[in-house]
Amino acid sequence: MSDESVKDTEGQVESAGIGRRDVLKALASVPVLGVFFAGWYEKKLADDAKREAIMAELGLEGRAPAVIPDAISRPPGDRVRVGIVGFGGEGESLGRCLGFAHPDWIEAEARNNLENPANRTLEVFMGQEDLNVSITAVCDLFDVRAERARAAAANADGPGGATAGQATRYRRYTELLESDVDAVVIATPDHWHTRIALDAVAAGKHLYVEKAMTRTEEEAHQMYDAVTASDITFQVGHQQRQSETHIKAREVVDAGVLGHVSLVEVTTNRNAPWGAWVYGIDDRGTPATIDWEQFQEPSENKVPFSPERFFRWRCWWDYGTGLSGDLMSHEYDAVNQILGIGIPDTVVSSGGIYYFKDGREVPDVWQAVCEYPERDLTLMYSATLANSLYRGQVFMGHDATMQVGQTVHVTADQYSTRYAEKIAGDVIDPTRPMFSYNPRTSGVDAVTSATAAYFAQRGLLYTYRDGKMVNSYHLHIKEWIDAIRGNAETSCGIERGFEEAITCHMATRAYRENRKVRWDPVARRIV
Amino acid sequence: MPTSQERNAESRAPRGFASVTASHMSPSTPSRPGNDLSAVLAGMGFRTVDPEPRMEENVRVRRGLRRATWSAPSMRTRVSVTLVHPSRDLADAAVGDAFTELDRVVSLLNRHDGTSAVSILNQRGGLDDPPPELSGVVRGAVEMHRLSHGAFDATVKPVVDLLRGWKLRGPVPEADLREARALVGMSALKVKERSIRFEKGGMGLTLDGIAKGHVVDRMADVLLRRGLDRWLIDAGGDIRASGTNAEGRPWRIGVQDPLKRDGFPAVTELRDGAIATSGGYENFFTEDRSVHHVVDTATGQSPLHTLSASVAAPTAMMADALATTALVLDPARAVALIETLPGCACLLLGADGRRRRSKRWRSVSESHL
Repeated sequence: MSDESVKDTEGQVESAGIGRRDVLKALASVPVLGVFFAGWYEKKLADDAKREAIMAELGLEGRAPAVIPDAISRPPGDRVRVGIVGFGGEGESLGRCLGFAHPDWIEAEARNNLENPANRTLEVFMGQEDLNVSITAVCDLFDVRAERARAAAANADGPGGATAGQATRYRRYTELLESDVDAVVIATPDHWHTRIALDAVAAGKHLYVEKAMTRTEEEAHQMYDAVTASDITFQVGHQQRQSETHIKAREVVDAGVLGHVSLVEVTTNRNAPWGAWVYGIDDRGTPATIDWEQFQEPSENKVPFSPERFFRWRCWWDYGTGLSGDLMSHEYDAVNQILGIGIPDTVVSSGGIYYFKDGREVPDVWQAVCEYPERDLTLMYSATLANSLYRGQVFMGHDATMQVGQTVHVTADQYSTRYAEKIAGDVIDPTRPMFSYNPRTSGVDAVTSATAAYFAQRGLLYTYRDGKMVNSYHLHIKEWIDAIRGNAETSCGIERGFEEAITCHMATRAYRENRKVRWDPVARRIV
Repeated sequence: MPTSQERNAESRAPRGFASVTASHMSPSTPSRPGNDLSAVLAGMGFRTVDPEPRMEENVRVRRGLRRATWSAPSMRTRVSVTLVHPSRDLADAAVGDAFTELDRVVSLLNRHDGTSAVSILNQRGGLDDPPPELSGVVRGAVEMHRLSHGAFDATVKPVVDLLRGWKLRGPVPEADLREARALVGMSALKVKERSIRFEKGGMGLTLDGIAKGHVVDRMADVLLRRGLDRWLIDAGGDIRASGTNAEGRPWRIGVQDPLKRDGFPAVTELRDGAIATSGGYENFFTEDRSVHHVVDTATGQSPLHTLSASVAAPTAMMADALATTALVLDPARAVALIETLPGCACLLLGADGRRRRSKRWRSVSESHL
């Protein structure tokens, strides 16, 4: 079973006028990449000193994000055997975050770096910490993806290279659960999440579940009950939990800088086919290579083989919840991380299919308004898949407004009570940010600039926290691995996952049932 | 759960420095009204010019090597010193001494402090027995005036004050501007062995375009006298560095994007020398930024042809003054001037999108944002 479409890198290597041999030669000649590969072979010897040298060369030593305790210095514990169920786009990405990339992907990214040195995807990947994990088992209903997963697991050219090996492909997830895996990554379409999770918990496997955690409210209760009754380590795939800007934003809120926050506006705006889940359809996907019946097994609505539904499953209610579970879930979880808002009292939502009239069932323009009367707060989510205006997350307080995206900007409100005196005294200018934080500006030792009047876009003592250099997916899955070893706690465990799931289900039901829905905190049910 | 950097940071707080690590403050943090917010934000990595506690950290980079970084508010920005050294104690002591020197020099040169020597000079129109520090900077300003063929002029204060006073109130009346410009002119500044005098009443001296660099150089002297050779001093973008960073590479310096987009227009390397940038994008007096804190004395207007002028030079004072000069001059003349000065290089980011570099300017990378 697969998540979203894999970008087909096979056959593309020769297409841009640069041959495979050229790429490999260039890899050796590009200083930075040369360092990676030279460094990696040293690292393969499991020599800590040499590993440190690699990290130093990458400028990463001592630069571990604060959310990952001892990310660089702690020696890995026992090897964790991981099984991945679903190796579509998301599953393959998570595989890389565990340290294993398909050889084609490495070549493609090396080429991208050659053509555009600013593209540092491969550098970031090679700079990942070796998590001391092995992918020993894979399960995907599409033969092509299953083989791709096996090739990635066996590829020693990566940060997990020392533990690369042959993974067994299983055609049913139940068989994978019977293997000796310690932990399971579920990166399937949403309609499979709960069934696999419940069986995995019963088998005592640690779980990493991609968002949205479940497709229905009932499934959320089932997963919550099972996980809370178990001893497994559980993480929902909201990798933005590792974002430096979110962590900074939380600190701003905790410091009371904004005053009372009464409105939060979050958005997801996209304007490209991929953003609307119109992924490419792999022409190798046929009834002979895709186990279609198993794909739709949990679905009540059985239909004939449909490549569109297989590769673009997010467009149908049968397999997901559209904007709600796929994108609002991220935005909600970010706000929940920053404000700790939990489940709303009520939700209303509206929208429609206004642009992508391609046979999909889920809306492409959609809004949801969540009320938190006990906190005197409204959370407003807005999304369109037909415009890409980026607005970030806006936290509107009486004293200041905080905009959170790749940076954090805090601007005093002109009518703030708290800052009135400083605004009047020209100490604070309400037309410009009072404070700003930009983790991207790390990577240099200093910035020469005209003297900043109120702020500079960098954190002086955080120069070794380079959000651009560290993949948040990697950090999130690393946190899970660390937690499995007892060295950390997951930041998006079952409680936060349950809140995300219920909030999204409230929004979905409000739309589909065309009514305001309410959360009954005593019965713990949507009513 | 403590973070890695919190655990690694072994903070000390000599000389009144508050110890601030990633997310907490030490009990020794000075308590001032309204300071708690700044302190918390500073601890989060934010920088403001609102009074903040001084911060310091000393982390082990790898076996046998430490990096000490201290920062403190000063000169309406933050000043930081990063020192790479095997000894934690020696590093802290040296950086502490550099900050002591900072406080000493700033107390003499800060025109915002009514009791400083330069303030008294401006108030009285003259000063007998000026502190050697002040005389040295003023002589430096005179020398930069000569080197820049008049483009750098520290007596521009009356015009800048006028423009600042008219902030957001519309165009400055022509008569007022004419009157203020009449008070500008280095030839009317008389610097003698034991006195500094203005020849016209109402004249004033602003050392904004040179003092920060001078302060950085004095701090550098403290470190050099101790025989230290791996450090970087950053005073709000005026930077002087020696040796290599903790990774053993030349210090990497990003040039701020005047339009404040993500990323740097250019990144350059600095091993033994200084770099400074001047621009009107941080300190401006009108909403459209057409009037800012740098003024061309030839016109009484703020230069708008260049958004940002970065100059590398042997000393921070030279870099500071030359950056202001390069911002004022026509870009072609600015590049030509810099090329005549030994050890100097410049990168100008023009309002027309053009980049002009002197022959000796070297970027590690450049991006066209």
